[in-house]
Amino acid sequence: MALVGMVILLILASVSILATWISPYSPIKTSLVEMLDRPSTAHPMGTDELGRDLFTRILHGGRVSLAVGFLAVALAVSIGSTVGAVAGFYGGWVDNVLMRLVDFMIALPSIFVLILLATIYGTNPVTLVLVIGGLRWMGTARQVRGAFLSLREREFVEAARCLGASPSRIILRHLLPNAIGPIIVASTLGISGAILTESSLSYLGLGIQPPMASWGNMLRNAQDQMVRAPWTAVFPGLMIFLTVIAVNSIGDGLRDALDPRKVEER
Amino acid sequence: MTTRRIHWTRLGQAGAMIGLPGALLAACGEQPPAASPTKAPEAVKGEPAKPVAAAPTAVPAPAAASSGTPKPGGTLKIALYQEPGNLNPYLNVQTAGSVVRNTIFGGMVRPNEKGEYVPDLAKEVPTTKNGLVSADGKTITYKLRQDVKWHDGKPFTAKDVKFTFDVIMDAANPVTSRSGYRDIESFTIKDDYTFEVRFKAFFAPFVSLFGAILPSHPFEGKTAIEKSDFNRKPIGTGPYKFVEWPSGDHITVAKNQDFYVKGKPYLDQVIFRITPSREVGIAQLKTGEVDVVWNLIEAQIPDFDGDKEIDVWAKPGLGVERLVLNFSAPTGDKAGDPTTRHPVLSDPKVREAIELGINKKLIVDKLLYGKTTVGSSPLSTGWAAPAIPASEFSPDKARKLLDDAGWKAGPDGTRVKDGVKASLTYQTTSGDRLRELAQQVIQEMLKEVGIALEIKNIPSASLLGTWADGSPRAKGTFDINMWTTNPGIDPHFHLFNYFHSSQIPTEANKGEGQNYSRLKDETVDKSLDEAGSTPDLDKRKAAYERAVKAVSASRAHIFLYNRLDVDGARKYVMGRTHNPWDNLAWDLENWWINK
Amino acid sequence: MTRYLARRIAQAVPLLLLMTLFVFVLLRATPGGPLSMYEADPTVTGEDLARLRAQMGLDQPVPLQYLQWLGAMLSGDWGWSLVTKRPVTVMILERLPNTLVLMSVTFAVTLAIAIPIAIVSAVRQYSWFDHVATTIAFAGNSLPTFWIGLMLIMIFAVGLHWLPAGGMYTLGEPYSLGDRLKYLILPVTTLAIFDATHYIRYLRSSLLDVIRQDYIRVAYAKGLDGTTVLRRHALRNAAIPLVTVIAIDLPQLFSGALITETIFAWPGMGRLFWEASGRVDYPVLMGIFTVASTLVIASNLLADVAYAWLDPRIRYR
Repeated sequence: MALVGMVILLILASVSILATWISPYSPIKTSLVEMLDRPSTAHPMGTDELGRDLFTRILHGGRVSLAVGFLAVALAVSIGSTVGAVAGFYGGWVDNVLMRLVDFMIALPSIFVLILLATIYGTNPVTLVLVIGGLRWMGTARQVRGAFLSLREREFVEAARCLGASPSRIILRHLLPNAIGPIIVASTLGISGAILTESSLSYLGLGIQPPMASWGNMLRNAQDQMVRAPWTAVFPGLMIFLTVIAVNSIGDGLRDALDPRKVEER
Repeated sequence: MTTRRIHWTRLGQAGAMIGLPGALLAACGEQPPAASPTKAPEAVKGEPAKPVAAAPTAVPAPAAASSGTPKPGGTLKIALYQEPGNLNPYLNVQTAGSVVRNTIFGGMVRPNEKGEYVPDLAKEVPTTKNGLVSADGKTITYKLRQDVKWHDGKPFTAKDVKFTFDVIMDAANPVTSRSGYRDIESFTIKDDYTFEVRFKAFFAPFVSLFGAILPSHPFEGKTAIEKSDFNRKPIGTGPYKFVEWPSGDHITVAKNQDFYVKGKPYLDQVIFRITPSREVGIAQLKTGEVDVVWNLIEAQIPDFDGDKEIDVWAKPGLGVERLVLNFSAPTGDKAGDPTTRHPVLSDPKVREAIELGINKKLIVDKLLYGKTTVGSSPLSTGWAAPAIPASEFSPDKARKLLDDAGWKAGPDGTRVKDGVKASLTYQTTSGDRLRELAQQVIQEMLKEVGIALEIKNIPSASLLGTWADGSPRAKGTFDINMWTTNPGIDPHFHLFNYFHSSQIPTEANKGEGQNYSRLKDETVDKSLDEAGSTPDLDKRKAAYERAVKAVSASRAHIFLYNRLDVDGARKYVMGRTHNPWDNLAWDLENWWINK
Repeated sequence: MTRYLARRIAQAVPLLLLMTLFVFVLLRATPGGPLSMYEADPTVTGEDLARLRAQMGLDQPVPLQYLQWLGAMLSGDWGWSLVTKRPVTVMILERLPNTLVLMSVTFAVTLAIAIPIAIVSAVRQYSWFDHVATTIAFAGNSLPTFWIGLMLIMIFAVGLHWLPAGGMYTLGEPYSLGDRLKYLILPVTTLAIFDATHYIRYLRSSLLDVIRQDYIRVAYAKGLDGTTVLRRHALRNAAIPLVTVIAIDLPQLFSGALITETIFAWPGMGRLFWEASGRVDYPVLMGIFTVASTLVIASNLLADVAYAWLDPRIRYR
């Protein structure tokens, strides 16, 4: 399952990255005479409401959607691991302050804050990554902190400390590698959440702005002509579906692989 | 946004009620002295009107409605895509609110579908001819109908009008606009059914004041009404009585048995269903959960192609979708200062090239499905609308013009002159589908002539914000904006506010005025001053024509297409007449259900 | 336990205060403001705007505005909407029940679907049922909610005319439970498809964990039949993490309803927020934020308490 997911994801990612070379069409060049053409040999997925080749936009939209998903999670994981690592390593008042911050962030009703932030800071891919990532790191922080709290008392850490290793070295070389498993699993699953969040924001008109394509805004735009041109809705939906399934199955696979208890069942 | 979909342009329909001096109307024949043109004329509180007058001149039955005699009874369900804030005519600006209020409240006079004022609660429209307007035009007398009752059975008298006036002027009430009312010197009740209003100076659109009357008795004379329950459970004199309003779901009004027009309204009940978006309303119309969907956009018309049970009501409205170009510097300390120059758009050749480069016809044909016409003037219809030919589409001419003006194509195709790149930001309200589509097409058309546009849409609350909120159009910190506005019944206020050089928002006038382009044009200023100073309709029309031609030539605004008023309805909904000067519900007492 | 609770609640108060401050600053930083709604009306002049600004208290410094808001809120006055001119508390209390109905029905349906499927899936791991169920669970979690909702409307309302496209009940008809239920089907399905898959995956894996434990094997060895073991031992223990997840998820259900409420014209809190945010009606927004954050904090607390209650090994200081 995980392997299939990996293959799907790799294919989606590579065709998106190679979009410019794969498709002869421009993703933004409109052609009003070809509005909402059915799928044909010239346009395998048909055209959209401005006569643009849907396949091309799917490829280019994939860049944006995948990039937003991955980068938002990368950001969340970086913030989360840093906060969690520092809190777990130093403990005491540092831990206390940082954990109150985590409590605070968790107490924020995320979708409401998301809407406000998207309204204020606009909706280009960079701000979307910052906003989505900035609201999703608390789980990772708690996880890493928990792992560190238990790890830091272990012998090999004590040993490193006695040998005079700096805190950053201990964190990076000794603690983090031992806590990385759950982080990877959680973040993989987080990617699908981030992609779905982007599409939901698009539905509310707060996603990626035109003419740039994202699967989310393509799906939303399709809403207006769903009956007349179902293909404009089917393909972006399918892409999101495939990506999320792929990412989730990779996440599940990793969890099983990293969970020692599960090994015997395989 | 999705209320984010507050469609500001259509909010402008409130502006449809901007006062037209009654005397300016051919139907009224008389012409009182005109407003002083030296100051910005203030448009008047545009409270959309009320039940139709008993006047024999009232709405002729439209052809569509002639399929039989009206059948009384039944419940009509109308989808509104925004929820009214409240139902007090003076505490709310949204058009959704005025649609509902139109059925509940009555006012002195109201415009009919031809743009003529007809009496409502007043017996006749005051003019100098009938002696109700004094010779100096400053004193107006209203005679009221004596057969009107409030929904709770109490008689309607001049006391109620006075109370309404006191409410508007009460400092504690956050009323949306006091324009006109603040120029009233005295309000005198002559008898129960006669009152006299004296203005400090002649106020041309006087006739549009008192567009909705509040009852005094429920308040027992207390005029501080901001927090009153009345705002949500109003009592009026209109054809329908308020029944209930479960928040976020629907508003129900029921037939006013005592309505002063005997035999009307026909419907027993009207339910306004609140939907979060137009799309939801359309779905509900298709399933038959509602009978009418209020205020669609042109691009939604094909949604109903081939639907045998639904009629799309699409008629030319007053709105014109336009690009607004900034003539002043968009950045720096003196951004928006009319003495500065926009690095690109201050060149008239660039502006001309922009218009030449846009294929408006293609946009109308493809994005608006050929349902409307291309724009060429701020006044698309009405007595003062001049005939301005549609602009030419010629990318070749545009390119030549730019070449000749010294704008040479750079390496990326974008033109450059003296180190300045012809690259502009292009903003409209985010989440508006039709605008987003038009934007992308225009972006590409202009790329063809070497002008780069960067789309940077922001929510309508920001784009249409005020000077104090730092809105880009008020502050002049934009390149090109796109939205619709609507000149209302009397074009003067619209033209003056948007194009007269005295109306440029600046620090000095605290951002008052809507000349967002920072247009300073002598012909425009002189023509508008002249039009504002003469009561002569022909002279005014000629002056407006000169002004509009100069505006079009300046390309302060580039008019893209004329908007339609679009509503959808089940075929059995009868009796409705389109009135571009008012909203859908203006004649709801004439509607009936044929099934 | 009581002391633990008291301590947690004491911690929650400054958290809430900080949250309100944060949101207030955020709201007042929003470009454009409540007055932008008046800009569209050409009769509203600069003079009117200045007056309205002062009347709404927007001309005061933001810190002062916050303190005023806070002071009033602590004394029970949550302020008045700038748009509707009604008390915020009334507006929220009107909408809250609608959201709670949607949430609780969704919740019940979700669990009614998820628990049996998860049990069968776990007990018959790698059976065809398990494969089908996990695949569907995967799929249901892989589409945006708005998309599922729109599709359901297209098919069952617009296409087949079986169900209404939106609203809470048929307009102009007297109350009937059947009618209410009819209107609940599509929004609840939309939400439940998404949520149920989540719980199926969660419960299945925690059941699998439990089933492998020694005491379950012991129970079987004692000769107890499968159902009894499942009910008396396995489910109970597997429920511990599930209850925690559910408690933490409760506020998610609340915010997840925003999009569903928007699609199905459901007059709940989510839509109230959405409408108020479009008009920058900040007293209403502040009120909703306060309610929502309190819910989040309370749910977290509930999760911990439930955990302690279900799992006797945990002791709270």
